[in-house]
Amino acid sequence: MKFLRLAIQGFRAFSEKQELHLGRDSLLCFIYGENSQGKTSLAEAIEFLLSGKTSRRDVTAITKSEFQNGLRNAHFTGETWVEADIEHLADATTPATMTVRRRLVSDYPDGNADCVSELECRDDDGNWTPWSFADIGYATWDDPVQLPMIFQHTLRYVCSVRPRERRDYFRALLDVSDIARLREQVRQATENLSLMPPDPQQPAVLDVARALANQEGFGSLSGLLAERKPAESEVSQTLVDLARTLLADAGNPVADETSGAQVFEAFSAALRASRLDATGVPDLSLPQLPENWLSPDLWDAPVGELIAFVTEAKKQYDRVNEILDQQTQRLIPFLQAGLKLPQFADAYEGRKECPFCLTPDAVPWERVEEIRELLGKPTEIQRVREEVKRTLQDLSDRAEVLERIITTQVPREMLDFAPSLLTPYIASCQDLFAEWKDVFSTLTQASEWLIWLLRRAREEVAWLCEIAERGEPFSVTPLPDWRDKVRSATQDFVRARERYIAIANSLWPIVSGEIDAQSGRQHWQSLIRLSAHNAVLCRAIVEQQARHRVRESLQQAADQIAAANSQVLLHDKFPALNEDITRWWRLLRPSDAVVFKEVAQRGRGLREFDIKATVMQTPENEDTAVERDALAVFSDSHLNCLGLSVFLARTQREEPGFLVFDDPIQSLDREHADFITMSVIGKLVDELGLQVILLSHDADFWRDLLTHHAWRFPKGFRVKRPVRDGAVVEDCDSQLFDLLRVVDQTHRIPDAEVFELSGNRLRIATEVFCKEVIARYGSYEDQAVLPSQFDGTMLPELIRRAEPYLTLDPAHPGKIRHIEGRTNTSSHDCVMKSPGDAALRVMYGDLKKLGKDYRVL
Amino acid sequence: MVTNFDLLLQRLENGTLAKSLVSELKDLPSDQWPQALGTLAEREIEREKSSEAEDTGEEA
Repeated sequence: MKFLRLAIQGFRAFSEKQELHLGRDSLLCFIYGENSQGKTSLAEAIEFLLSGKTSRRDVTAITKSEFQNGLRNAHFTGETWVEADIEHLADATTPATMTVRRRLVSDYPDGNADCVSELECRDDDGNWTPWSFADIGYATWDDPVQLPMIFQHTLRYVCSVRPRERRDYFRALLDVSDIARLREQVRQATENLSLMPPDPQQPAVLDVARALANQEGFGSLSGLLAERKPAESEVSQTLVDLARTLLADAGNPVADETSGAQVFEAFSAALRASRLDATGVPDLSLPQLPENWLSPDLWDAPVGELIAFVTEAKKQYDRVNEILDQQTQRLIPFLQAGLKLPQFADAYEGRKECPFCLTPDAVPWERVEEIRELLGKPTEIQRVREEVKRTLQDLSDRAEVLERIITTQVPREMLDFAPSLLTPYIASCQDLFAEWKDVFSTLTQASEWLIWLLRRAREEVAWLCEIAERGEPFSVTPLPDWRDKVRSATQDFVRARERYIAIANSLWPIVSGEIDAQSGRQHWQSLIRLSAHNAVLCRAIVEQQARHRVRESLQQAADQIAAANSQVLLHDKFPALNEDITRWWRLLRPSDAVVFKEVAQRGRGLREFDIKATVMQTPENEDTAVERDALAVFSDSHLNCLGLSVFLARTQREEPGFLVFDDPIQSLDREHADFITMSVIGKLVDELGLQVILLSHDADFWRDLLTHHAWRFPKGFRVKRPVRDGAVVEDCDSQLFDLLRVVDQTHRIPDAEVFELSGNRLRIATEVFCKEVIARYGSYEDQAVLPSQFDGTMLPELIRRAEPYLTLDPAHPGKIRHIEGRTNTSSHDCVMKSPGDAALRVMYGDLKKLGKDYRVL
Repeated sequence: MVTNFDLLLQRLENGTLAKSLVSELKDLPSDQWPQALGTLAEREIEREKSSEAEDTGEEA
């Protein structure tokens, strides 16, 4: 991939859109900018385009918040984006061009989160669509060298005082980080692997067992937990034996033949007795309710049926009574008429007793009632009456049963005494205790109200029974009303009871634990709990031991991967690069005879490796070879070159198509900068076909690059940052052109001081022209020379050296000497006489023409 | 193309958990590694437990 054009807007130092046209003509782009002018912003714009972030934040920030809003230009209100025309190989041979753009959606926030950006590609219709560099097979490398870009801050890694950081840089370049990431994931999985099984009961039971095993006298449990294959029966027997021993120690021995269940029954009873002795409160739990005590099948529906039956029976009862009354009324006249018959009248004259039963006052109303009763006994009325009575009695019985259940649920004395008795044990749960008192009071009120209702209901039923017994008319209307009241009160009671149980279940373990602790029996309860979960404990032990072994296996696997990774690093990866590393090193530091042979592990960690360097006095003299650990002992300058060498070797292998250097000579001395200029850049372009984008703050270095590679037609740019404006990028292929432009702009101004300034600029331009001519056309002892090598050389000397190459026209040397004579009357630093307007214009024209003739402009 | 994981597999001993683990993960995207490792660990646990059961059964 190569860049044909770059455009930046609103990114860091840049505000308004700036463009760099790199084109296809040249693979070289040299950008100059003084410090703080926006050079690194430009390099980071390319990084942002490729990766959507800036690695400087990861590498240099102490806290990520330091980079809050670090990408968007603070003074620019428009959109932030970086755009590029790129060329890549659509297939093995066909280059394709496309325009891509990354827009900043949200900048780095205050915190660790990343910025958000969108990478887009412009389609044939000019629309932007989401895109990824992976679409053209472009992949990033590993931190801290994510891209084929060398920044000052990544090179700082190379010279870090921390050996581990130095190795991180080289490790990233040796490209085994994917294995390291895998190993890290395995290690993470090892840490994440819970030793506790997913069944929530198992960890709890195991915790109890482990806590108990730490207590004196529970040694057999420790042995059990350490066993690999505990059988359930073995676990059970161990627990029973422990309980048996504790009971014996407490003076309550149980017989040997007692079963396990009985042992724990005795054990629990002993513990309860112990608590009762200590507190006077038997327990906070409520008695068990009979099973299905409130089941609709047993209570609600039958009561409803009973009421329905009574209601129906009442109707029959009333109907039969009515018939009976009618019959009786009909009977009375018959009887009275019968009494008037002669045979009866004679026999009973003067007497009023009944002729049938000899009752005195034969048929008064009371007598009629007796008759009706006699009549009713064998009839349906009697049966209905009995049914009604039995049903009512049944209702009463049910109410009585319910009343008895409720009464036993909440013994009144608990409310009176429990709070004060529990006070010594509730220090750690005052709030819970207060809540318990509250719910206990509510439960008591609910139960008392229900009991009162049941009693009143029973009284009501008893009264109905009496009426029925007497055969008098009665009403069943109150019965449903009482049923509804009882039902509602029962529901209130159930809710209050459930609430109480929840609070008591929370409070009682704390209170009972405190009671047990004060009585020295805190572990009895634990043992009882364990015995109730015998099978769970057994499963938990097996599960945990299996997890232990898998965790060990994973740890072992991570170690094996680390060891194998070292082997890959030592024996596979480095050997693939070491020849190239040595080659680049020799180009960068030809005077230092060093051969990099291998990567050797230091210590046990993967990070602890070093590059073995064989250092010789001269390349030919192998007898003087000494082996060194390069990362450990090399100086900063050497490390810088080694860092560049490994980076270039990796780049050579990856063939990314381009390479960006952001001030690569920061800590190199001038001599090694020259080797970059004269050796390295040429190899990168000619042999590897890489596009090289190099940014530098060193004007001499930049000028040397432009001059030395002039025949490769490099693109030159200058980054500047005018006061209060964002950075701007200017095309600037030639320093001579810059200087002549200044002269062109000023020499027409009729001012003595400006004339003097223009003359100065013209003299400097002449110096630059001479240096460029010497560097382009000359050599020194058959070695290429660079313009910067003549810095500080006086103009007459420069002219003397340049004259042999000014051969296109015999007049050319004279023109140069003329300029020198008019602009420098004596020495370099003297106050010269300013050339006049006309003379300046002539000299400006001459130098411009010379520049073009000798291709310096 | 020989990947780093291919090189790694050549350096790992046959029959080790490390080797089977790398074989399973090497073709997965790295963001799926944690889940795959979790599944693999649970499978190993079950295998350990069942071998426990077999051992116990044999002893019984």
